[in-house]
Amino acid sequence: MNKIKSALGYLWAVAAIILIPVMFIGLEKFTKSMVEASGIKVSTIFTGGEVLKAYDKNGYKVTVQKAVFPALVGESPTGFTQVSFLADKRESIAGIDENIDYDGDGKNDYNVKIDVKKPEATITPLDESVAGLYKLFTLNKGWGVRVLVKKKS
Amino acid sequence: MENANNDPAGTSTLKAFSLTIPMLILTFMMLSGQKPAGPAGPFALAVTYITYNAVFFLMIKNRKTDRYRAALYFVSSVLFVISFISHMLEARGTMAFTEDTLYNCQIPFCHIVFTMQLIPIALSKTIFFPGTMIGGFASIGEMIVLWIGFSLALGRGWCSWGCFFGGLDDGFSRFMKKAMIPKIDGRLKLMPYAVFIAVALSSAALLYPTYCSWVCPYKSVTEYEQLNSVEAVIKTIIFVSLFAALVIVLPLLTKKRTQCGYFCPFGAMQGATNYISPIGVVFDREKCADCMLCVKNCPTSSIDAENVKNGAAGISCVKCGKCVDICPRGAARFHVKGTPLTSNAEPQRLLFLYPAFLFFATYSGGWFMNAISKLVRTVF
Repeated sequence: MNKIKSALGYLWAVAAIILIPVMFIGLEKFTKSMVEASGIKVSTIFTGGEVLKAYDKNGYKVTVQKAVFPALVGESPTGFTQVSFLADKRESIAGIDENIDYDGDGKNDYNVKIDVKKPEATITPLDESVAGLYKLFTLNKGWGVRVLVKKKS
Repeated sequence: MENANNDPAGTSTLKAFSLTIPMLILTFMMLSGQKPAGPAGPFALAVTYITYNAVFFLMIKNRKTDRYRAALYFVSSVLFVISFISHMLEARGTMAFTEDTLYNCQIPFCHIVFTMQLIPIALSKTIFFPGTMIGGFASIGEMIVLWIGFSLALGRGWCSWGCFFGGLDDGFSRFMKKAMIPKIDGRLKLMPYAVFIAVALSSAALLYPTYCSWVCPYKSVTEYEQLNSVEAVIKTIIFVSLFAALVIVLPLLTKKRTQCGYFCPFGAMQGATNYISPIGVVFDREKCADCMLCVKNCPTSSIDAENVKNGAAGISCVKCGKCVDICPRGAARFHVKGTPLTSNAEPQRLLFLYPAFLFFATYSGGWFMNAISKLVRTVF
């Protein structure tokens, strides 16, 4: 029994020596496999969720993301939808006044106005699921807003 | 009695060189692929390659682990800070992360964040951190793979051979000859577990990494929030104060790694991986004279009289090798689990040293080269 334990101990120690270089050599492949197999992902609280649509308008690109309802388990009853306005340079955007359809049903859900000089954002709900402004943020090449939304029944 | 592990005559030069050859080959393979671009790249590669292999050779030749590891570990951590900050300045123009960085999920991931992701991963396979799973600078996926591999092989040795921050308080804990605060209340050893539980639960409840956002001392030397609100100013004051206290002042006064041993939540969690790694630190009771030198000198207070009596270092042992180096009777040693204590200690130390040092060289070699390359470019 002691000899078996001893042999297993040495085997594990030698395996550890092999494991380290193999891990570095195959790091990219192992990472991809691990991420795919585990299904672990970054929370939508940070990514803002899946892109619903992107289109060019008024000299900037509008990217609308689907509404997300981040929670530790399942979904929260309230969440947000993110929209960004990107140009070559942030300074080239003089102001923003857009109607946004965040759920892709063909009807506008809210209007967003950004006064880039103050800077300040105003959300006007056009649908009862929209609760108001969550956050206005600056991006290197434009502006973004998160709009609070309630789950549609 | 002479230290059986550390025969003053050491290993013969020829034998030490022969044992260094595998490291010379492996580190060349691993480091050459990470050579920085530009004219300083080959110089940085050469300096890094020679430095690491010279240190490994000395570890073999003189049969000392911690003496050489600690010096290189400190330098590597300082160079990590230089490399990281210069990368941030090049990529963003500032050490502060902007809203753009945050909303585009470009915050580099660090192993300490794992402590705050255990509950979300277990419950919903979700990471609450603004980073990327694959690709980019310091992705979450790569860090998970490296952490799993390292933990299987070396357990909490991460804190002495892997952590890019650990070298800082390790280094500062060695500057003074004598500890001005020689005794730390034993109950404080439980502090990292309390921090671990607090940050794991609070992060799960609040859906953001609370330790990183509020108390990580290393924010002071890596990146921080833009100082455009009262909250950001308060956070920065906390980061800088904790860095000064836990990483510089207290290690100088106590000669202990106070951040790693008394605060770091990752260290608390990583201790559990010592159960699965094949090599630990033990005390041969037949050789031990109960002088307690190991207890006094353990940088993370992972050894107490009870551990010595029981013949094994505590679960928080970081496998730095300090107790093995200083034990006058060779009672403290690296030990392959399951093998008898009568087995020769030096081959077992080598079985630990090869994977530990190779990880250290490969992992830290990248930023080591990068920092040297940038310093050379700055000076010339």
